[in-house]
Amino acid sequence: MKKLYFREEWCVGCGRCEVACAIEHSESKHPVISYFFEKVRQTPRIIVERKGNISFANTCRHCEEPDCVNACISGALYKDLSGKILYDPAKCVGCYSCIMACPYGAIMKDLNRKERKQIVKCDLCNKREGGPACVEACPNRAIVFEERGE
Amino acid sequence: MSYVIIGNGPAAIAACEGIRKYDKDREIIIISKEDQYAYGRPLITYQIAGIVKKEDMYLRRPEFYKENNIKVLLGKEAISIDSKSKTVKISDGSSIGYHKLLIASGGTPFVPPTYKEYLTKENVMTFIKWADMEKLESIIDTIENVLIIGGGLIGIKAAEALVMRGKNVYIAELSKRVLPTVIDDYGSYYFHKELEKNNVGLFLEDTVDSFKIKKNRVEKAVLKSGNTINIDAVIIAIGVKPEISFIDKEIKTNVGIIVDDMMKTSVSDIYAAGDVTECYDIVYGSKRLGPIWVSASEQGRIAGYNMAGANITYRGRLLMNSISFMKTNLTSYGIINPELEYTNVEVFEYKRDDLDIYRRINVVNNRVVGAVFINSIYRKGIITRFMIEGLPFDKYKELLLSPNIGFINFEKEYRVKEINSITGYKKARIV
Ligand SMILES: Cc1cc2nc3c(=O)[nH]c(=O)nc-3n(C[C@H](O)[C@H](O)[C@H](O)COP(=O)(O)OP(=O)(O)OC[C@H]3O[C@@H](n4cnc5c(N)ncnc54)[C@H](O)[C@@H]3O)c2cc1C
Repeated sequence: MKKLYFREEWCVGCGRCEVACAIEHSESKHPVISYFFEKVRQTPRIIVERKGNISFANTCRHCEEPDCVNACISGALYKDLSGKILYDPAKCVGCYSCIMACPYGAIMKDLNRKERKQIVKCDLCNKREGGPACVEACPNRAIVFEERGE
Repeated sequence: MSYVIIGNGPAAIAACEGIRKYDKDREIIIISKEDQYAYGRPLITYQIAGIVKKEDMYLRRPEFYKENNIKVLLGKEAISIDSKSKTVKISDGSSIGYHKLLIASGGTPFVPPTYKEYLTKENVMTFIKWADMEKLESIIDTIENVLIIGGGLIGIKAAEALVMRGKNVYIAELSKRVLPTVIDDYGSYYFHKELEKNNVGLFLEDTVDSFKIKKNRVEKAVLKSGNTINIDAVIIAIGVKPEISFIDKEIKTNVGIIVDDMMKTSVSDIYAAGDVTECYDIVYGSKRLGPIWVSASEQGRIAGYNMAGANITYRGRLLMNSISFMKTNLTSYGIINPELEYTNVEVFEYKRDDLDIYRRINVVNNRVVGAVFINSIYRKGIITRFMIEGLPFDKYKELLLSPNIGFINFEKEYRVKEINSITGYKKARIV
């Protein structure tokens, strides 16, 4: 299965992947509208870490044996037939057990949803033509989307 | 002959998925005492609170069973197991032969003998299953004051649901703090504060001495401390114990069923998984009970793999809980009060009183053995690596105490490998 891989040496820490991720998961998919006018401002599913001159992005590994799915008490997190770990917000009760269990720290609290506790996680831009938006947004090709291993 | 599974919780569902990874054909039969397809047991309090609808409580789509060639006997109870003839006897009088058997019967509420007779009253209940939820639902509009006996995980979640429904809630807890098994003294302060803020009447180091009955309903509780409270409903949430009343006496048990790291019991072709077992615990380094959802799923999956002929071992359970009461969240891992187990315990703390954030890390011989996080959710699961892999605490002290935990403070080689992992984190080993 194709997954995201990160090249630390090539990352300039610009954070465009985070921005592209938030926009892609918005309703309008428009940078200004999604930020200012939508009901819920999207939380990026990808994280850029920075310290001194080191920076890199990271996100969900779509594990073969996902701890988050095992921990999910509601069935909101599941593995689809292709192996992606996906999330159904309608079923989520916001217990944060997935965040507790994920050894990658890849699941985020949905920061801006006030009426209900929810999470966000990478869905590899499930239905997007052309693959994940973060890859396209990276000016330095520090994020790649490819098949490695089975 | 079929795979037979007793119970229909997360351990059973994961076992079905585990079996189907290696065996697509042989029929699976699930014997389920409850007349519901597998649902999120912890969601019963969220349903009362109005956060989730009944139809969204099921763990899998309705087609799941059919697609996977699973026959579910709803509302049927396994009465006994005969390991000689490899059969399970069922409440309707029939018997089913098994190729491999999984016991995934979970827990049953512990009710002290003195309270037992009151369970028949229409306003007294335990709170661990669908039927309990419906019993509470049936009287919810007629009640105002509710007493919860036990301030553990179930008691606190029930209290939250009732507070959200506008009820007046009391909790009687024997210990000096709520959530005694999953929180330390200091951390419990945040919960006591939040309970108070939501007008929950907390009676610590206290319990019910006697009830007063009127017309088949409990209407008053007299506490050990002498307090008397008027109540319209009682929830008994003292704890659960493994449900092993029906099992073959050949199967080795302590309090729960003893399993090896392939989830086998002491009797051949019989496996066990979930709340019913005593399995290996990574941090304690020994076999013990650990009734948590994540481990029930993990154990079920491993059992399923092995029942279908694979040879896969479990890395062991890491105890962990994530629980919120209204705005306060607790996450705890491993051994919370290690003073009871070890002498050379070091405790490290980070506090931000202005944000109500508290992080406590318990260290023994430079190894993280437990942690308590209050209102510190961000990327918290990264700490599980320390307990599973035994990474040295001193090297990563700042990282672990900081609420802004990430990968950047790990050695380059480690982080590059991990954030680019092809398979993801592994909890099983092929032998
Ligand atoms: C209100 C509540 C909140 C909870 N919250 C959390 C939480 O936030 N996080 C967490 O980690 N854990 C939580 N738990 C615990 C969690 O639900 C359990 O760890 C988990 O359900 C265990 O799964 P299991 O598959 O082992 O057994 P169970 O889910 O208990 O399922 C066992 C099933 O087997 C059936 N059964 C028993 N005996 C027989 C028999 N003889 N024949 C046929 N069927 C039988 C039972 O009726 C039951 O349906 C909570 C529990 C409750 C009650």
